[in-house]
Amino acid sequence: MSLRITQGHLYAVALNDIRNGLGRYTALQHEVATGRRVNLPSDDPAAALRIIPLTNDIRNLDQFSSNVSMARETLDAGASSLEDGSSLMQRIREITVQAANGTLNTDDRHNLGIEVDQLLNQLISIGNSKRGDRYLFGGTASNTAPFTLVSSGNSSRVVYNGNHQSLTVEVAPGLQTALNLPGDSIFQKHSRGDTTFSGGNTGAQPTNHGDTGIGFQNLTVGFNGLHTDAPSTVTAGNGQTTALGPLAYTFTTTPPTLQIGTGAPVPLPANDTDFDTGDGRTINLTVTGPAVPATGTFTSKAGLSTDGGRTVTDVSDFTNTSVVVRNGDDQTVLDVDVRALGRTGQELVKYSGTFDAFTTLITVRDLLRNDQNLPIEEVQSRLSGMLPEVDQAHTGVLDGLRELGFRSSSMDTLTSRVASLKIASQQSLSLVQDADLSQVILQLQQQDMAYTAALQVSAKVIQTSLAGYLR
Amino acid sequence: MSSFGFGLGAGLRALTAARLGLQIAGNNVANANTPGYSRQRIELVAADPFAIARGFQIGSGVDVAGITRLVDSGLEGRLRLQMGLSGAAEVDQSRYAEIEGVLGEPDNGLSSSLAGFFGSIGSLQTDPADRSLRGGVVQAGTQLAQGLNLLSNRFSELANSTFNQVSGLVRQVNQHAQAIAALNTQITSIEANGSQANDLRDAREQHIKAISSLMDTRVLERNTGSTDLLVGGHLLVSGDHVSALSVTRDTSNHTAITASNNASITLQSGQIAALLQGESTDVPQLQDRMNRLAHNLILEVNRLQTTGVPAGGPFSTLTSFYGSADSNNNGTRGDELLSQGGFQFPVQNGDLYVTVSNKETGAMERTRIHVDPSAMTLNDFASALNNVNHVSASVDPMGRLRVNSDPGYGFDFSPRLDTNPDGFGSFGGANPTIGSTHSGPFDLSGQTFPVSFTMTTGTASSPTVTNVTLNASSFANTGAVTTDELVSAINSSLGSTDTAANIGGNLVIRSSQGGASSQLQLANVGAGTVLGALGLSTAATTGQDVGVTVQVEGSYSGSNNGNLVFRPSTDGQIGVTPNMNVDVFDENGRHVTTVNVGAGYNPGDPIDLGNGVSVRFGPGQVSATAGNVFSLDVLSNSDTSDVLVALGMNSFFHGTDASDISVNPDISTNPDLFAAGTGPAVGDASNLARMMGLRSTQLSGLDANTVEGFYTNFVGDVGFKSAAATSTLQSQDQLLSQLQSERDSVSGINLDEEMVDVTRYQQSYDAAARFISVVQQVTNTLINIGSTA
Repeated sequence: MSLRITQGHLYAVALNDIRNGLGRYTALQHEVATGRRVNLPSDDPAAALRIIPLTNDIRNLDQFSSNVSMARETLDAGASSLEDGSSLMQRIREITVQAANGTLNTDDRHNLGIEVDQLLNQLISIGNSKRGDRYLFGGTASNTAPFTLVSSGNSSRVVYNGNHQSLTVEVAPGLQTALNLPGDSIFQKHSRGDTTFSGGNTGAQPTNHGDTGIGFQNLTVGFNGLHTDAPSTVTAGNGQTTALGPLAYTFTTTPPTLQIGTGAPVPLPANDTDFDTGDGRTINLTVTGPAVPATGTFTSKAGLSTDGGRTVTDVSDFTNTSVVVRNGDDQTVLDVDVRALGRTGQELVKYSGTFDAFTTLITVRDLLRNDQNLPIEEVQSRLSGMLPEVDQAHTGVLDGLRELGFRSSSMDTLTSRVASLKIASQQSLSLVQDADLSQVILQLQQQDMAYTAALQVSAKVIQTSLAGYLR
Repeated sequence: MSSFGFGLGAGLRALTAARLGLQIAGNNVANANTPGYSRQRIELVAADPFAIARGFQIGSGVDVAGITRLVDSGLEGRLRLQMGLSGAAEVDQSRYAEIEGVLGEPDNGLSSSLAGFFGSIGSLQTDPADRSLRGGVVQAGTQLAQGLNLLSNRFSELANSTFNQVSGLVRQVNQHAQAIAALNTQITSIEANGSQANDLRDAREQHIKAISSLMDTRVLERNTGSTDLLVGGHLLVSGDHVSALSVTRDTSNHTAITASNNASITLQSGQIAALLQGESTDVPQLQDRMNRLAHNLILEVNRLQTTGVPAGGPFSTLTSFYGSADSNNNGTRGDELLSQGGFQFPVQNGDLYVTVSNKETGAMERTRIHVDPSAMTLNDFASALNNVNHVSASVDPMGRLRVNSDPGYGFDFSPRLDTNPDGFGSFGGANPTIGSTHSGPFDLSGQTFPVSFTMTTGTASSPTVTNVTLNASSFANTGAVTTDELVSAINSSLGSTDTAANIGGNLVIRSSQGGASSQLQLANVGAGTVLGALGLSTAATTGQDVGVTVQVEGSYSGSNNGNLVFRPSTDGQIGVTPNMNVDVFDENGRHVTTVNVGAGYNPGDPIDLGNGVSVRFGPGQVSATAGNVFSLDVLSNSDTSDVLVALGMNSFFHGTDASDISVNPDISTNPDLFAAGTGPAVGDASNLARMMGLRSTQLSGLDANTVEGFYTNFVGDVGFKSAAATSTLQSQDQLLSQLQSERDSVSGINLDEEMVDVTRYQQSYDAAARFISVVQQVTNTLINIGSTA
């Protein structure tokens, strides 16, 4: 028996077909209107699993590109500060050349000294450059000024208060970049080489190990009294002494004299009297009379200091190859071989491979001021000697500038890299999410035709019934 | 017998049959669109014949045997079953469509809030001190929390609306059941006379089907024509009796359907079954996943936040948000074990590292507190914190922990490296020290207690001799004396001047006087051997004017908490003495590495120790003979006990799941409390880096997914289920309409057929009338024979 087709069935089928057609029609219309194939996760759950991470990727990349531009601004702010620093160092070089070679009088040099002092303060403020409220060159300690000028006694120096941590920010997936250079790596360098002493002729020798000073220091070699091996009748006088180290002595009783080394015997008693040692050195002694034994050797102690006499290291053993002299201002140490030490005076200590732009400026300034009253030739020669230091400090600033500039320009590359990553993600997203418009519109037209046809045919079929023909 | 009446009788029957046929066809046409109407058909039989002459029989016309309903009862059963399945599929589909709407993915849902939260942390990395960027993190966190709250609320509403929906539907079921019972009575009484109650049966079938789309039914037809209806094993209708259903809530607050005898009814199909399934299983499963997501997010973010340092540096005061519950009901809070404190995040057996730092110098001291929740109460924990120098802690009446530091000091719980690990000065410090050559415990079982040694301090010209006496009572086990026991025994013997300390498990004794002329020498009293047993040198040692500085930098990238112990290999001067090394050991005494600090090393240069840690040694003398040593904690997780998270010590999120997650209002009002760093430096963004790392961390609590991955899978699963529900609905609907067309083909009305019937019966009527008229004419003819003849 064939299936009976009833009117109810006809209506139901027609209605169902029209409804389905309209449903498909609406779905396609929605796809065209939104331009997207997946508007709800259930439209294509597998695609939804891709769409959410891709959308997040794009948001991340937006974040990265804002980080990149912010990083760029910060790096450029640092670079522009260092450009100022570079032209400042240029001016310092001009001044140094002028003062080393020119026929300047004391006043001219003094005026240049004042200018260098101003430049020093400018350099400090460059080191303390800020962007917004944040110091650029202090590591992560961005709310305290990285560089402060510390003066104690007649020496001044600039200390670094920052740390060595980087302010890092993620600028691309998995790529961190540092927004800053710790200031001490720009203005102070630590690739330590040999330590050299110059100028003093005190006989003190560097040991070339264990030193921690940076740039320049003055090693003051002073007279530090007599060692306990001195005869009981001999004490240090109040006058100037230049002779250090072991000194041979000879007492005579008739008449009572004391001879130091090969110098001329001096009649006793002697009060605050200079004794010539016969080799160009003198020692000022108070001697009450002859002592037993009449001949021997006593030691004139040295006092070594790198902070202008604030912290004095006593030397009584003149066979020591390693005397540690500590600077009370910055706690740096200088290791000194004292075997040849024989005379008071001052050594210019240069820690090669290290430099401190601030110390260089301070040294230049002090030479121009010449508070030590050095002879003009000495000042000029020392200023000439400072030229490589000025250049080195300049190079340090330029290195920092180059590093920041390099990072800043790599931000340019990153901007386009992040942009292209974003485009790639957007393309993937589009592939997964977006409707193929030409295809959908074609389908929409097909659907339109099918829908219209369904309506027409249904209208025909429903109308037809035997009742219409029986009259 | 033969008479004139025969023809009229047959004609009359034919007329009656034809009229009935017409009436039925008319009724069929009239009910063509009546739902549930079954086509009726007249059943005609030839009337009983009678015998005429010679044994012939002749028919007596037509008889109406009955009016029958064209129904396939097996098909009706299948249709009822299918209506239940379709009803369930419809409910499922609309539920998932609603859930998808609630999620709002892939555009505006929680995924953008999650990405926004991590994005705001990424923004803050660019300037950790910026208050507006900090405000951005708070805002993004609040948005995320509110997004989770909203989802949680909507899921709850979805579940809660079930009761009302089911109540309404069950009321319908009961009404239909009443109607069925009433119809049963009518049908039974009508059919008792032998007639067929066709239209009533159709009406009853309609009511049964209405119930079938709501719940699964079984129909039992009695031979009286009455029908019994079983739903979920419960006899809902028995003849004229209805045992109505009622709706209650069960013990787990789920909607339940109970019979009059309070027995709960389990349903398999139909809209009500799907609603109940949604309420008890489907929606709770989704809710559960959202809650897990929120729970793990809260836990992980808070772990990092509580072990970070806010913008203002270490805390001076901090009160926990959560308090211990009074679970033993003695009226005081805090005397319960941490495991019974009612904390939403359980306290684990682990360690908490407390860091106390001097706000002026930055010098820090770190203390490890072992937290065993099954042996430690909150009060015990507070007193352990109280024992830390410069920190006081107490439990308030609400059971909350309050921690304060002394003025000038701050505390935090961060895992940062101690930048100055030799705070005690036992590694070439200015004050002379003597340290044990090996770490504790020490075997003193061979000693005769009390045992003494002398300690000579001061200077060579004015020495001070102190006697130190150790009593057996100070030690729990003289065979294994711990360093801490020795430290407290020696310190109590020394008074407050000279000090003993535990440096990475080593016993170190330090003179109170420093400088190059200061000295320290230990000596056994008499023939004692205690110093040997303690690994302490009896050689004299001197201090120095400025001690060796040890500076540590970097951030530890290792995965375990550890403690590194540093010892010089020989006596000498940093940067000067040839072949002088520092040996580094781990917390188990294993040798980790050796670094050269003698000739060739520039004092102050960083030495890389691996795992992101570097150390710088300043100039000065160190001594292996005197047992110089320092230790450095390297921590990857400074709170393995989660006690900070449990108590809510400056946590970022409050709450425990999606329903109650919120941003700590203290942080909302003061975003500076958000911990961007792990150290006191204002530009420190190391904690932000850890939080960004969380974004890509696969969490065990989330089935080894990242937070965002877990959520994406969640959305995907909802999408899959929704798509599946839609396709199930389509196929069930198709099956239903197929069955309906089958039913239509049996019971439905075809107007053409009916028109044919109408025509047929009309013609039949015409013919019968004509037959009667012929019979009449014949009779007339017969009657008139006489009159005309």
